[in-house]
Amino acid sequence: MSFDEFVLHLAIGTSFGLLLFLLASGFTLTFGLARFINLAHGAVFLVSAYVATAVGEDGGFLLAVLAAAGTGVVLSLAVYASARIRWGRLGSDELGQVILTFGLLLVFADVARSSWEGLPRSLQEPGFLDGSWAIGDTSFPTYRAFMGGLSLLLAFSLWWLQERTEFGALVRAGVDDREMLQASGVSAGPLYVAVFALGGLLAGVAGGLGAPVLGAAMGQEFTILVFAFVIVVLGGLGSLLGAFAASLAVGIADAFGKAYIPTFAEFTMMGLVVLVLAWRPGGLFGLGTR
Amino acid sequence: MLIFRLISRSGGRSAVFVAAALATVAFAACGGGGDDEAGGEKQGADTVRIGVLLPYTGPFGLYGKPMEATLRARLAKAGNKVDGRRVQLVFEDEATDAKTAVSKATKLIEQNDVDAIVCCPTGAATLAVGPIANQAKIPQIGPIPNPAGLSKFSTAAVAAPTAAHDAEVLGGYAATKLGYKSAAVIASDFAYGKEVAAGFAKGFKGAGGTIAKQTFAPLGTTDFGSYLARGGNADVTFAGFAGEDAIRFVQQYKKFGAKAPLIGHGPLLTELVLKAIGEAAVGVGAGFYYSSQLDNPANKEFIDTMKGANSKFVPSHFTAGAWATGSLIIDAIKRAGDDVHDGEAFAKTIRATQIEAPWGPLRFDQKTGYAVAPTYFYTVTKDGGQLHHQIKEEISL
Repeated sequence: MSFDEFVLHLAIGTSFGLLLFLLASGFTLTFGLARFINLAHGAVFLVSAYVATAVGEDGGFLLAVLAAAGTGVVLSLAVYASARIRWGRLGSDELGQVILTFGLLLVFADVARSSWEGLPRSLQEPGFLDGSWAIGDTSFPTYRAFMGGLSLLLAFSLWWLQERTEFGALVRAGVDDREMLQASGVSAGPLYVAVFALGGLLAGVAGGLGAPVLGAAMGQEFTILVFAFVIVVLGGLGSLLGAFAASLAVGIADAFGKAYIPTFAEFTMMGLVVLVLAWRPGGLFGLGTR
Repeated sequence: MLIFRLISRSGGRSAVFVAAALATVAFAACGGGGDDEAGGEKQGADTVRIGVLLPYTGPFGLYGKPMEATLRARLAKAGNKVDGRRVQLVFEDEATDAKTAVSKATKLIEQNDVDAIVCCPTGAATLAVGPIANQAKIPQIGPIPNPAGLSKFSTAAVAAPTAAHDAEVLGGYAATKLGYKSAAVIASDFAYGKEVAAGFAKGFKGAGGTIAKQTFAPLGTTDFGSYLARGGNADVTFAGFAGEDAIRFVQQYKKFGAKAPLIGHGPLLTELVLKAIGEAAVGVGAGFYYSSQLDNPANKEFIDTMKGANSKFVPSHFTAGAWATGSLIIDAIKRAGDDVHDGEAFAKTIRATQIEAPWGPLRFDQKTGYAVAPTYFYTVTKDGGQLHHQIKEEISL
């Protein structure tokens, strides 16, 4: 492996990993705070990506990503609302949640199927990002650098929100000990709504931002969900830092796996999970054996 | 709600009545699938029933409805009648799944008493239904390129060449006319991809070329970057992808600095994915038996009819195959005459049929039951903001 190639695969993996972080962070936050397993997250990504491709046809790239983000928020809040109709409190019935959100995943995905006839679609990247950068003999698409950079910026904002604001402090307190938070007079309800909306926003942005690379196609609701699962388990449930590290690890392992052992490409990611869980059963930054 | 009123009025005494009412409602609700079934018995020998298994759900779910519309439109052109015999279509969902296809095929044969089965767009389903149709002595017509493997059933006829055939012809063409010495092959890691990769390699090597590298990528690969970055230095790249994989692959191909020209088997550039691929498709070539740009009367009639009914209709080899299947059924019933209800004789007649399909003359290889059809080489061009195929020439081994 030449140095150029190494850098290229690293760049591919990093940009993809950063995009995955946007997706997984919402998933891990809702789980961490509300103990809510939102399987519909994959379909939120899918529908957002489809909306982005539809809006982008006439509206351009920026509008497409904004529309995707909006779609993500709306769908995620719809998941929250239907969960609240069923349960007065979230997080009390995990099997029920899985069934409910799996049902919603199928519903969302079928709405996308009937709206866009199940055809795979794509979003045109903005013109100035259309080219590639040369890395030695090979080249790296400019848009991916942009996608990675923007994802990194969003990840940083999320970190700031989580660590430096009162909202973040409340969420962290809720993740650590929900009863204690409520006992000290903070109502968890509005906090849940905010976290669901934030998770949907991030998934929607991921769908829109990823559309020029990943496109929108039926079946993505599941492939994306698997990525989110792997990252959340690998990073430790509810841990943003863990999700960040795991996203990069998964993205990079995926890139090198495809390049050097293509026959086992599917396996590299899962192999990583097995290794990490054998070493740290709670995930990289998990909360131990709680 | 009527049911609730019935229940409350009956007050529990006439439970049988309620049950019957419920059963009726449930039955009415389920009746959507095979809409043409009712009333079939009355016409007796004057009706030819054709069972049609299409995917309405599952990954291939998008092809079901347009194919049904096309088949209906083709038969409607003939007034749904051939020589005084009424032709009745019974549609069922094969759900992109071999098991479902088998149970639906059994249902069509045993309950609907069909005279022939059109099956299936899903390759695995076609192969699974093969022995069932054969045992029941019911002719089976494959509407699109299906995997090799139906040859052993004398009742089967596939109205399109195998995918491997077109890929092999393209392989030979690439090594001779296009003058490439070495090729890198990359394809989907499942039956379709392996079949076209092997077909291309056979044709290319047979004509003196060498395969520098062969890679298989999993179905639904999100990112081809790492595969492409190790493309090597072959003269040409052959790609065997379909659907969303085709879109991502072609879009990402040049962005990762791959310099060799790109060619592929038809589905890589079919009309269904072309618009989504966009600008990146320009200049990419493909070998295939169908393109909407083919200039012949059957193709024109097919596209005009379908666009007339639905201006947004996008022709592809799926719907062109459904159209050809319709023409085939009409012609075969005409030829069979009174033998149409004799499965073995009807199957023989189907294989003897010759029609004009949207891709040109269609006849069957009497030994294998697969269609003998021309292969075309085309590239993608853009004019007036629209991407379309530009047919270069008809190619052969």
